Amino acid sequence: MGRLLQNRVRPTALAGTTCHWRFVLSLAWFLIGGLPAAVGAGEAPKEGVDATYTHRIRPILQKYCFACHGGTKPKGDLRLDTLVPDFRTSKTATTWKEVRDRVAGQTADAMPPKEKPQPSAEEVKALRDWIGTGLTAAAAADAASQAAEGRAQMRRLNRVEHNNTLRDLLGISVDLKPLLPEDEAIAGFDNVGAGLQITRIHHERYLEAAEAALNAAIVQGAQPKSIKARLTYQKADYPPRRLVKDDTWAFFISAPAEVRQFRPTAGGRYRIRVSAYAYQNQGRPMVMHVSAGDPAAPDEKYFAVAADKPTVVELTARVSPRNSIQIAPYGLGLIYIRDLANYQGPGLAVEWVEVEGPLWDSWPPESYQRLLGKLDLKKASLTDAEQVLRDFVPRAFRRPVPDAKVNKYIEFLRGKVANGSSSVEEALRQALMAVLCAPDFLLLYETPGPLNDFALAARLSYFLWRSMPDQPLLDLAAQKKLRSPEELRRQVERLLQDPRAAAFAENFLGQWLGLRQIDATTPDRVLYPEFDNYLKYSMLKEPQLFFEEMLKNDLKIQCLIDSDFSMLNDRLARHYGIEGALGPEFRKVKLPSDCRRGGVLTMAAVLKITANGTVTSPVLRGAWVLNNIMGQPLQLPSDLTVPAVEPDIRGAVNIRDQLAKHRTVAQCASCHQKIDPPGFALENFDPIGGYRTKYRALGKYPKANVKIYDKPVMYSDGLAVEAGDIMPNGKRFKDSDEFKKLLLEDSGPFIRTLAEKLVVYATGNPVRPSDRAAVDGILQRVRDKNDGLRTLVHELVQSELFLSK
Amino acid sequence: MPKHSFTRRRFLKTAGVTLALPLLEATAPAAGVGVSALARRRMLAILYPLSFLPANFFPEQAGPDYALTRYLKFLEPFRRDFTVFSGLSHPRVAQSHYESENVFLTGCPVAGTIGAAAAYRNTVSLDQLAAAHIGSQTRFPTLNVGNLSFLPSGGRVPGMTKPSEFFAKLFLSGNEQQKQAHKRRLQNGQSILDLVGDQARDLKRGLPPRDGDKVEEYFSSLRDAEKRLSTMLEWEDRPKPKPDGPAPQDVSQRDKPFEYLRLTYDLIVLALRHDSSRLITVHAGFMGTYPIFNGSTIDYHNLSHHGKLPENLDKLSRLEDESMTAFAHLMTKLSETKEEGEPLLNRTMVLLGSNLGNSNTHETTNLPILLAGGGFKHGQHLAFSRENNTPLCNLYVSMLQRLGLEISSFGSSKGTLKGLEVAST
Repeated sequence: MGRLLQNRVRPTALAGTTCHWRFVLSLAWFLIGGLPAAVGAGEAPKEGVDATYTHRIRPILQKYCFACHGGTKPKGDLRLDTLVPDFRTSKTATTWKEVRDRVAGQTADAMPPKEKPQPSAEEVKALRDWIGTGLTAAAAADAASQAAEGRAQMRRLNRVEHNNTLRDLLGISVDLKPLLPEDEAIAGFDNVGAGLQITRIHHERYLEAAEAALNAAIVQGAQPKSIKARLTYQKADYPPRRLVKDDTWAFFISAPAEVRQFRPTAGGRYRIRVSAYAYQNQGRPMVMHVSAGDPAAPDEKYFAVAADKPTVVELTARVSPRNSIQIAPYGLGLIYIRDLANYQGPGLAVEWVEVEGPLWDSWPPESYQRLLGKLDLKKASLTDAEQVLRDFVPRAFRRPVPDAKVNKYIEFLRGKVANGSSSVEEALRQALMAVLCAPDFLLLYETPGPLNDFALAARLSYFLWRSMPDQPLLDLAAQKKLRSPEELRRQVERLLQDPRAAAFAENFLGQWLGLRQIDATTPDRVLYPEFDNYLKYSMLKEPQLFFEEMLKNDLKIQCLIDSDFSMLNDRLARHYGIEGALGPEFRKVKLPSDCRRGGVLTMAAVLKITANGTVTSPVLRGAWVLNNIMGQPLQLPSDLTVPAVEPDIRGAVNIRDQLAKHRTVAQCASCHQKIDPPGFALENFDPIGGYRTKYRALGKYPKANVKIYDKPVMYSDGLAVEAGDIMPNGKRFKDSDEFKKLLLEDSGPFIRTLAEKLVVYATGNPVRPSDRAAVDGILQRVRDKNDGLRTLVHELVQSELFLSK
Repeated sequence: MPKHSFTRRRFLKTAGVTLALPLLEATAPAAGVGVSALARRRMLAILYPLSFLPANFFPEQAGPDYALTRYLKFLEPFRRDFTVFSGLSHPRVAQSHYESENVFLTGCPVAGTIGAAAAYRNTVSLDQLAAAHIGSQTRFPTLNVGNLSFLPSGGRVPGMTKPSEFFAKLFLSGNEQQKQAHKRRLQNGQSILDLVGDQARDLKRGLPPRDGDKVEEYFSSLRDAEKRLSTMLEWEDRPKPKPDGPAPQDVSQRDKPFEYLRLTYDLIVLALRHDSSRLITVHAGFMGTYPIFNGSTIDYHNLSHHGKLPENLDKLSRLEDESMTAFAHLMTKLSETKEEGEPLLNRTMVLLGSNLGNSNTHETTNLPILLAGGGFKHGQHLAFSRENNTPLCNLYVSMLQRLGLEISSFGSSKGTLKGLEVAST
């Protein structure tokens, strides 16, 4: 019985022994040897493993379960006759837990099914106790190994962190991410050790990135000439334009117009000012899009410009040689203008474009001084170079570094100079490159047990900034003051107020809500002609600003499910059908009571990433909600025997009818009655997050009576949407509003889900069953305070999970 | 630990790990471990990620006398030079784009379904496994266009995305000064890796085993990087081949995917002809592209979710015609280009396939697969059960053996593919 497992492991006795891990290691060997490694197909686990299992538990399972969940074609892809009685691997433990929860549970998905013979109360108890004991013992064993090795595995910086760290270490602003391979995510996040492999290619690319970073930092010679010029548009055929006075040209379609006179020869930051006004727009303002820099990832912004009276706007952009500036009026479409000279429609008049750059804060730039101080690298002596290295190594490694280690780099430097292969400058550059390729730079170094102050400083800054700790954090670490609860609280507050904290919402939501996938599919231009770049830009900002607003004001976590406000600009407000003249600036907007928005589930960005470019699927959205909001990740079947639903946009087939097929097949029903309802809750929202009561269809039907830019749309109104469904617990809802209310009736599971996601994101390690108590503690304290989001961040930082490796 | 007067790199050199350069005329092959002596054999694997409409691809009849389908008609002149397969797939692969593409050349199982794949750790791809055996015979062990290739550790090999980059890699080495500078960078890289490798060794001491594994990962991959650097350095002393023409102008893959593909194919033929590499992979990358189409633009991916709409099916068929036309262009070039009097195609296995069997349903079974050239007995439709698919990896084992690797399994395979025989010469 479970006692066997318990006898093998006396976890608490281990903690505190020296050299724990060797002991745990031998213990692990013992455990592995003591349990069957695997069970062959169809064969029962061997005798002597666990007498209780063999004599008591297996017969029960045999009697009630194996008929369906056995053999080569088990129902629901769950095979119990070969399930190893092992609770230590998360896969088998999860399955056993599922068995315990499902057997004679009260819900609709309880097992065995109602029409089948039911186990007696004693049999149920025996089964539950045995599984419970096994799980507890395994958790204790896990805790022991954690005490010895820590929960988190050592990991390297991911490429976001690598980029940000070099940015802050050197004071540079080049994007180095494209040089590195993409990182793989584990448990939904790309900062988990197990996913962060180090391959040959990484080393090759780290060398390149280090060289590029140092080249960006060590800018020498005379200050390059900056330009400051006032440019105007000139005559050209496309996009169509008309001279309205002096050098002022008006543009009448929403195609970007390149400022041809701008031909930067030096890369860097440029200040771009544009004077423009809305022309022939019946006295109304207009939105203007300005973008500059790398065409693949430009710096861009939308501005409101007044009617007939020039408005001057400003954008600072990172520009490389040969990049361009593009300006476009928003919302005029790409119409054909027959008689340009007499065209009376609205346009954007641009008076002038002023460019200034590259902008330097100082010369040599800050990056040079940060690395080399006043040193003239061309004239540097070996001693100078050595001093640079002595200063740089501890900063790069984010902790004090013993002399012996620093000396390795110094010896390297000396060697290069002594054998005549390099000048002092070259040798220093190589030594600096080596520092940036060193394991101490690339790996986050933590030792088992409570984190030391420097490791804690790094954990804190990588959590909230995805970057290295700054000087105040390192100073506190040096004074060993960081660990006190008050100081930690102060530092979390300080870090959250820093501009670098933008990385928190961006990366956390980018992964939790999947916002990084915003471009994974492009909405069909015929079905969704109103989708444009401004909408995409705006929908991406909403959840981030919303999250930041919640953090700032410590709003209730439940707001993520439903809220009476959101962060909107004009484009998004129009998309949501909310009245009110707003400009392109985002602001907090109180939502009308009949509005279906509020909370993340009904934000356009979330609705877009859970759909493809043509259709939505309640199955995909349902699975997404279960996993990310309700904390019920699916145990996915590895062999689907019913083919996936084939999408049909001919307008005659209802998704609900198609899915009915799944829900009537017993093998599918047990999962689909869980998956589909949250999906159907969102059925009123189309692939770009617009509200709908009818599906859009393409086919031989009358076109919908809608115009975009005065052109009738090409899609038709299809079947009516039927939202709403029944939850597995029997509760009904008719739409997203009622579904949100149901979720809020018990927000515990959601808050736990969010907390667990944050734990992964903050500590770089998936949440294990043994973390349960610590997570419970965090949740309890958050509940006792105010359910606030910032409170959750504080409590997480103050928890053992965060403070220990 | 005592200070090493003997660096690892020097150790590698003296241990004979440094790889011998191939002979200028590589008719006598360099014998590697587990590789039998063979003439130059090559592999080109191409993934079209949005599948083909099954009815236009798969012939109805099995065997040699099948009627050519709409798409196979494009390959009519090469009918005897390729085999079309049905009923092949990788078992247990989630019905998602990203993951199923990632495992196309690895056969690694991924649990899950469309849009919700479980975490997995990829395994080695066909080309990288072969590269470990025969990669040192050419300047580039593999050439990868787009992301389709994975190292033995499962780590991704980032692929090339621009034809100009591909061209530069094959042919350009700059002036003498630039060449020297490049060589120096490689040498500097070596000495830097030497230094940080020693640091890793120091760091590893005293770490718990799991963390030690991570440092070991750093350390062993560093060794691979060192080896690669030293091979690259040796190749530096041999001139790159002279280009046959000017560098290509890059075209936008997003707007002109087929032109991009054609350009890529031309470069691949050049790479094969000059023996720059014998292992090439191509991810055609159609996702999110907007092939200009009869004046209107339609996202290829959206079209692949055709929803059974007749107009969509028609448009999609025409796009797939374009895909096949580009492939036929490649086939023509490979048969026209001769090496030692033999068409390059005879020495190059060309695999064309997709990770999806049907893009509308996202099924990852019944994949459209075609193998051309490489010295196999072709000219037939090898039909396997559509209900109970045969592992695609069986075909991969046949291909790996043809490359000279003495292996009998790969991924989900249990041997070579039945019915596919080597042509008698």
